[in-house]
Amino acid sequence: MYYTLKLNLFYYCVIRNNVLHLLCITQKGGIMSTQFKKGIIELCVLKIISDSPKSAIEVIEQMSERINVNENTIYPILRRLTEQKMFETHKMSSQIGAPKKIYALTETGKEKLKSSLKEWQDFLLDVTTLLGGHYDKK
Amino acid sequence: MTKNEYLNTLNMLLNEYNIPKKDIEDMLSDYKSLWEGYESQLMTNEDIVTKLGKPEDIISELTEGYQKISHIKASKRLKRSSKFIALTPFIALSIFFVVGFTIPGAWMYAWLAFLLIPMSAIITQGPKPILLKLTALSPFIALIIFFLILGPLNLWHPGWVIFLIIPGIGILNDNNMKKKLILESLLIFGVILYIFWSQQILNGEMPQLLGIHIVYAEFALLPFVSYVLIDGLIKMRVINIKNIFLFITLVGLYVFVSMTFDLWAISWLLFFIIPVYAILSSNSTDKVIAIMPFISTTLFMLTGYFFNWWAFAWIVFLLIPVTAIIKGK
Repeated sequence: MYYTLKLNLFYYCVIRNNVLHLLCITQKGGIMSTQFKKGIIELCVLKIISDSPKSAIEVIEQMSERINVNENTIYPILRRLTEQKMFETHKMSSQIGAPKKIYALTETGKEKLKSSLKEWQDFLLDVTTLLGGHYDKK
Repeated sequence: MTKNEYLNTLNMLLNEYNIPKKDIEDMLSDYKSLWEGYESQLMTNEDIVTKLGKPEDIISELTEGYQKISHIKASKRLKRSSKFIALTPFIALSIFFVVGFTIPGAWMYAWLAFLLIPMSAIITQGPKPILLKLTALSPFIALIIFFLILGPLNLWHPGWVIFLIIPGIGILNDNNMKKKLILESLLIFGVILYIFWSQQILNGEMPQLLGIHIVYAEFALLPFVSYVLIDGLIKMRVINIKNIFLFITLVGLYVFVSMTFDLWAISWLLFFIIPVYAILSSNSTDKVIAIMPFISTTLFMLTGYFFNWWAFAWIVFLLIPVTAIIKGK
C-alpha cells in the first residue's frame, strides 16, 4: 500500500509538473492554446475566491505565488467573471487611497467552480490513465 | 509613467470602443485602486506598470466582446454603400430606357447609364485617396465625355485624345516630381500639336517639323510614347518585345482603320485589346469575369453602330453579371 501511495504521489507530481511546465511553455508561445490556459486560470481564480472574499490585489498575489502566470490577465478575468455573475462585488474602505473592491463568489459562481473542478479532475484522470499511471480523485 | 498618465492612456484607449461610460469609469476606478494598492507596498511606477500591464497590452483583454467605434462606423458606411451599389443596375436600366425612349436617337448614348454601376462601386468603396479614385474613374470619365460631348459635335476625331486623360491622371500618382513634370509636359504639348497638325491635314495642308513633312499627326505624341516606353524598359530591365510590338501594332491598326474606313466613332474599341491582353496574361483566376465588360461593350457598339440595334443591344451587358454568377466562387 505504501508503494502504491508513493507511486500515486509520484505520478501526481509528474502530471502536476508537466501541466505547470506546459503553462510556462504557453507563456513563451508554446503548445497549449490561449483559450485552454485562460480556462485553467479562471478555475484557479474561482477557487481562490471561494476560500474567502478577496480584493484584486490579493487574488493576483496568491495566484502568482503558486503559478507562473501573467499577472496582467488576472484583473480582466475578474472583470469578465463578474459580468457573468460568478462574483458579486462590494467596496471596502481602505486606510490608503480609494476604497478596495472585494470579490465574493455567488451561487452561480459556486456552480461554475463545482462543474469546472469536476471537468479538470476528469481530464487529469484521463491523461494519467493514458500515461499509464494512477490518479486519486480526492 | 505616473498614475495619471497610465489612467489617462487607458481611458483614451477604452473610449475607442463601444463600452458603456459607466463600465469605463468602473474599470478606471479599479485600476486606480490597484495602482494605489501597489503604491502602498512601496513599488516604483515602473514595477506597478509591469504588474498591471501597459494600457496598449491589456486593452485587447479588457475590450473582449466590444467593437471599435471606428469599425462600427466603417461597417455602417459599408452597408449603406453596398445597398446603393446593389441598386445601381436598376437605376442604370431605368435611366437607359427613359433616355432611349424619350430622346430621339439617344440609344447610341443611353448605354452610358450602365457606367453608373462600376463608377458607384469605385466612388463608394474604391481607394480612399482622391487621386487614386480619380485614376480608377478616368477611363469612365473619358468615355462619357467622348460619347456625350464630342460625339454629338461629330468630333470623333480628334476627340479620341480625351482618352489620354487616363495616362495623364495616372502619371500624377508617380512619386518622382521631375518625371511627372516631363511626362505631363510631353503629353499636353503632344496633344496640342496633334490637334493642330490634324486640322492642317484636314485642310489639305501638310504640316512640317524641322522641314520634314508630317504625314500623320500622331507623330506629335511620339516624344511622350517614347519616354513612357524607355522608362518602362529601364524599370523592367528586360526588353519586352511582345508588349512593344502589340502597342505599336494597335496604334498603327487604329490609325489605318479609322482613316481608311472613316470609323473614328468605333475603331477605338481596338484599344480594348490592351486590358484584355493584360488580364489574359495575368495569374488571375477570374479572367472570364474580368474581360466580360470589354466583350459586352464591343458587342454592343458593333451591333449598335452597324445594325442600328441600340434599343436591343443593351442586353449584351447582362453577360457581365451572368458570367460573374456562373463563374464566380
